[in-house]
Amino acid sequence: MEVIIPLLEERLLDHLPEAVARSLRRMAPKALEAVEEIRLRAGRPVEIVTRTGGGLLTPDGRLQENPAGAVSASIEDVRRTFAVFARHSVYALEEELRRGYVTLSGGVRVGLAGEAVLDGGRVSHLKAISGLNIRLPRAVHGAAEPLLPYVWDGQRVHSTLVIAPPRAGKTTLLRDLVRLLSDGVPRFRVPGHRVAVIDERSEIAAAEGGVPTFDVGARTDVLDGCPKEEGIVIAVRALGPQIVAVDEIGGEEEIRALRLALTAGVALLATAHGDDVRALAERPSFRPLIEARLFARHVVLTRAGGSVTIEGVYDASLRRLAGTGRATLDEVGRR
Amino acid sequence: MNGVLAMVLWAMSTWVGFSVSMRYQARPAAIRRLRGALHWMETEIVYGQTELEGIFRHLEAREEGPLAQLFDELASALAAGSRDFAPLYGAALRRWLPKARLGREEQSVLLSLGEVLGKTDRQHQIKHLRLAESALLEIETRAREEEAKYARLSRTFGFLFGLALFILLL
Repeated sequence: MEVIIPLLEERLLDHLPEAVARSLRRMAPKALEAVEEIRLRAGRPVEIVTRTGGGLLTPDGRLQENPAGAVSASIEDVRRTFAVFARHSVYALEEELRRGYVTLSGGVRVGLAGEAVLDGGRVSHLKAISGLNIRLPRAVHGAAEPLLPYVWDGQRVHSTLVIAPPRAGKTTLLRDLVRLLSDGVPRFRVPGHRVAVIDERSEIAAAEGGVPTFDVGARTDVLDGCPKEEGIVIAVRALGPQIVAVDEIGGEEEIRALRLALTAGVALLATAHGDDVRALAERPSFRPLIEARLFARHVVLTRAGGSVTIEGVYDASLRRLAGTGRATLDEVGRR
Repeated sequence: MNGVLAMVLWAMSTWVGFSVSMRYQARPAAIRRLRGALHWMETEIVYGQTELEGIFRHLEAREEGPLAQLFDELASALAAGSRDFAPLYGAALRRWLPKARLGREEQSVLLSLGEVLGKTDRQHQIKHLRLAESALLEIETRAREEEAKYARLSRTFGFLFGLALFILLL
């Protein structure tokens, strides 16, 4: 189920600079459906990233390589758009300005570019915002079905780590996996499970007022905006989940919390940035997790030919499991 | 007939004197309320990180009369998802000012604040709000001095000027 056009029309277009919104409205519905990112850079052409590539936006809604004649965003456009996203209360986004992104309602994530303010040698926050990367979330029902035979062995859910580079569909896959395991899938004889989603960036469930706007399953509890390390502990203690799901792990404290959940007998679904499982295993923060074989499944995604692809599924010892196909999320989503 | 006219002019002159006196009295009180509102705004920004819309809604409930209307208008503009807040703030302020018994100096402080309100991080917002508060405090002090000097004088002058007219016309 694609949600991009309603999301754009209902929540975003009115907030974008007039010229950009006008051009996007002129795009063909099919092209608009494929939009993944809208990038506004002060004084430069507006870039649109789609599933198949993208280009620079022209006034008549086409995408081109050549910057000449493309729609540009002024510094005022960028700042005004950011002010709207911040609901004219930039001061209330201190944590977001430190992390470098803002999550809007509907799970839209806006990456920020600007001038870093340092405090004691570390980034305190960003100021003078000059670029916005507006990233639209996707809900592709059925995207995670090819994984079910690996994640569910007929008795229990295996803890699974999804590894992929940015924009490869990690969150999409995790969201659908959560939904499937929460609702249960009679076709695969998977029963429903209690799932706790620690949604630090409000991207998995895109909760509004604590209520998920994406379908994350009937038995799913969401801790929205909660730091992962604390959220995992709270969920394990308070929500009694059978599965805990977190997106984009990487910090040492997060990994310590993951170990706690894994040793508490809860299955984990997590994602991490990386190109392949062996490179990930070399990273100091992940090495103990991999060496302790805490994740029984490692799923590697690639972005081959513009579509999201499951490159391989590996077991706890990083052995590639037989029979892994190259099912693309797009193909599955269309089924 | 002359007697009636003289009485009316006396009454009018006295009324004008009292009106001028009330303006002198009302201005420091209005500035003080504004300072209170800005101080509250600062507290909400520092400790609550409350969004502007929420702050204006609270202020609307806390205040009364035209000031409450101003905050209601600002909160509604933000709730409507306005793309550019500063011009809306300026327009709402200009509509409100004639009802507000404020002088030019404090109007200018409020209009300048609208240019930066909500646009920067917490530290900058605090700086701008404190700057506005201290400017208003200075203006209030001067307004109180003017009140002490001229409020009673206006009343007396209005009464006596009317009396003089009354005597002349009789």
